[in-house]
Amino acid sequence: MAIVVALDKKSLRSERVLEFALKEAKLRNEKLFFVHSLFGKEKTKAEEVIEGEKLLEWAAEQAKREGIEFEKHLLIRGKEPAEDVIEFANDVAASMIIIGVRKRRPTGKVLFGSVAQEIILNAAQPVVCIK
Amino acid sequence: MVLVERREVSYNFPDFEPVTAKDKFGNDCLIRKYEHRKDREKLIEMYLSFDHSQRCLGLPPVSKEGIERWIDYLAKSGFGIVAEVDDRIVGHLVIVPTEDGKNVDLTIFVHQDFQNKGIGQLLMSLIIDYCKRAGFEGITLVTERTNSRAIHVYKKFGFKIVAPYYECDMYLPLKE
Repeated sequence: MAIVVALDKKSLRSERVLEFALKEAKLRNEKLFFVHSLFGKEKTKAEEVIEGEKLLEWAAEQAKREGIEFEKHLLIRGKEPAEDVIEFANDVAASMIIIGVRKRRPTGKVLFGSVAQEIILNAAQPVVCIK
Repeated sequence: MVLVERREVSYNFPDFEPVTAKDKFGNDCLIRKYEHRKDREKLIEMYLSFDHSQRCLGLPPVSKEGIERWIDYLAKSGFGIVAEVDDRIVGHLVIVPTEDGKNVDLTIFVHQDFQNKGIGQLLMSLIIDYCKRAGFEGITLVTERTNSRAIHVYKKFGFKIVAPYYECDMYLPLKE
């Protein structure tokens, strides 16, 4: 069994997502799959790929430090992120998906994010949302 | 509303010269820097009577406490300008630097009784110039995907949609 951790961007929230994921992996004694989804082709810039790799590396380092088994996957498969994450979770027979939701922009606007909504609505596994 | 996770940015915002302009109908409108101590009550008043159906992504907050918390937070973290007609604040635009300090995030509201007079566009064009002078790399903003009127106006100023999957994330680069 495995826990899929969908990371979208380095932020204080993704730190909380990671912190929770690491604890949960220990508690359940399960492997973590860190994923970051990009569409690819003309919809994705080279910098986004680099950023994505950095983000996954950041998560990987912390898992290593904690001695938690993990894999990291930069998904570039021509899919929208929600579909991509859900499909990946099914492929690895995940027991749960961890995502970050509810961002706030610097001026205060609140975002929920259609990706988070879609994952929550369509995933077969329980979804844990970190605020 | 919790506005945590913002580190205190004490950004040194340059001066903003007040501008008196005529709106589309020839009425005088003063655009000037928002001064928290002096203007707080007036701004609260504008938001207390703001049309709820025009709220965007949780802003402005509905309750008086929410409004107060939001504008107190903005006063600490960002820089604002206001449009004043007959001593009443009728428009408010605020920028808050992003975490890396290179860009600013922008939010603008014009009171429903003063819309369609060109006040919003005036605020926008003045702040774009201001941001260039202040040396920011670009302006980010987010609106609801269905808010086609606002998106149209932002596009007129050169904003591009950068993340259409989520809400409508837009960006205006200010440097080559």
